[in-house]
Amino acid sequence: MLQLKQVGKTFIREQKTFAALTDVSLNIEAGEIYGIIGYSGAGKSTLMRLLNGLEKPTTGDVLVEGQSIVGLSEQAMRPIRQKIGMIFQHFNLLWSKTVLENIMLPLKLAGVPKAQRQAKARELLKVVELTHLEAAYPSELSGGQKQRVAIARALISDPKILLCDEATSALDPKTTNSILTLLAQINREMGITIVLVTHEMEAVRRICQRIAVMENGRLIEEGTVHEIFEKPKTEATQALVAESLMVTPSETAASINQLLERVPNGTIVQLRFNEAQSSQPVIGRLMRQYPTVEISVISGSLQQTINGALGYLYIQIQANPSDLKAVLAELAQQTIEVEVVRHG
Amino acid sequence: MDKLNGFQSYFQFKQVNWPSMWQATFETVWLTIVSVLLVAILGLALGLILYQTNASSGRVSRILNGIVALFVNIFRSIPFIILIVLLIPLTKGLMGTMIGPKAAIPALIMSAAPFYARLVESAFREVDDGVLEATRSMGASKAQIVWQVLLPESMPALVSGLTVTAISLVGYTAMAGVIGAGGLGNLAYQDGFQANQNAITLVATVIILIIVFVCQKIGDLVVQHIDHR
Ligand SMILES: Nc1ncnc2c1ncn2[C@@H]1O[C@H](COP(=O)(O)OP(=O)(O)OP(=O)(O)O)[C@@H](O)[C@H]1O
Ligand SMILES: [Mg+2]
Repeated sequence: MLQLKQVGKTFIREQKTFAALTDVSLNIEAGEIYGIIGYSGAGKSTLMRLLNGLEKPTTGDVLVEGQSIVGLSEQAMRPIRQKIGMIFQHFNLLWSKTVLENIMLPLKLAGVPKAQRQAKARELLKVVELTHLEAAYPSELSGGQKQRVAIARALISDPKILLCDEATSALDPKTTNSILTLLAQINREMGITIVLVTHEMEAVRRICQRIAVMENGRLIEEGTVHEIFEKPKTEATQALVAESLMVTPSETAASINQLLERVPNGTIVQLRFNEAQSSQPVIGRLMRQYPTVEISVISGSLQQTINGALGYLYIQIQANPSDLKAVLAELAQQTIEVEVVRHG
Repeated sequence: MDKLNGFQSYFQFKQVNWPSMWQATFETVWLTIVSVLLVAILGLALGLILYQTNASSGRVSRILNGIVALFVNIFRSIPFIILIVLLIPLTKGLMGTMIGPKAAIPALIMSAAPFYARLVESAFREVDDGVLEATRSMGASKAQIVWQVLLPESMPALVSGLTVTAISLVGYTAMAGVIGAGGLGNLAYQDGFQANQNAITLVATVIILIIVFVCQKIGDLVVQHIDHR
């Protein structure tokens, strides 16, 4: 889907050449979520900008769906860029346009008639759960809401690829989680290939299938999430992995997907709780209170962190909509966080 | 007309010929509006050229940038009263006359448009690079970026810059009046100063102040209305 072949990129800074990327090759498959991780200045954003031709490589080749984009003019790049959505750390919304107008912008640029643009934008507002905010201006939104608008904007031209450059780096952990969940959902339901650039190992761990690690403009390690986490080869990767283990644990995309396959029906919910909450018999009480509701525990664990024990639990709920709502509300009161992984 | 001196002379309002005062007010307002419009158009064009050619490393854009920058810097630096004299031959050729409000227009534009062009350039530069990059990543053309991003995103700065420009244009029109371009400046100079009727000068001053305040108020209101940052 996306290929880099021995790509090098040099910038001229103060009359000296500076190699931002050296001999980078990688191959991103259609339909996967591919993570690119590295510390600041590693060259991640530069690499990302090569993928949609915002920057041209000094050496090597960049292929999008098998077609080399290196020799293309700005003009010829335009239709290709429309098939590659991009989101950013600082959201990059136009403050002068409303949420709806921001989302419609790519289609406006492509000359799609207004009625069609609006219908499409409203559809996407539903996907990112912001229907009530269509007339708001970006300055009235929270960071997480802004990123949702940016995601809707990136999706409106039906891209096959979504590039995310530090898309969660400006957000708090909870919002980060909800954005990552949304990205995983987009990947699963729309079949969009996602490239996720970040310096947070936790983010790639949660939703990526494969990871590339970058340092000083070189790609120093590549592998599946399991390979990288279990046997990090280089020192830089080990440091990144160690850092991420300090963060509260949650499931990787791979194991969530396994779980979803194993339990095909019902609503699946991830609960997070702390030491005190874990000793309360919440689930048992709920089952007595709502006799028609079926709750089963699928998996869970309790882990020691610097802030004391933190646990998470995946449960499956089978209930009618009104009971489900009540149960979820109860759970939300009794735990730190309730995240619906899949609606039943 | 008896010659009055001292502070009292300001308040001899019967000296004021109101029809000619309103005529002069009308001329000043007309001249200001016409020149603001022309300055806005020319200033935007020059400012856009400065902005677009500044970042680019191409040979043509560097030369174009040099020429426009030189033009802008020169005309911005010439004092208005000298510029108007300097441009007399050009004005005669262009407007066919040296008297009346029309005659002031070339000098007004030549001096205010470069000033506004610099404000436009810096307003464009204030536009968030990330937003420009995002638009580029959507496949926008250069012209689309100007119309869909650059102009709307810099609109408050463009409007407040135009307000400042409009206010100095009111001042310039008064100066132009002294050398025969009509309006309140002309009236204050000829009927007020030369005929020593201070009340006329005072009334003309108050009207000019009102015009300036109205300009400022309109500008502020528009900015308030369009700024959603
Ligand atoms: N246009 C440019 N001109 C000169 N140097 C550049 C340019 N763009 C990037 N660089 C340099 O290339 C290197 C890599 O930058 P890049 O933005 O790709 O890093 P990054 O991994 O995305 O870092 P961060 O996590 O801080 O975003 C940096 O040293 C940067 O200064
Ligand atoms: Mg970066």
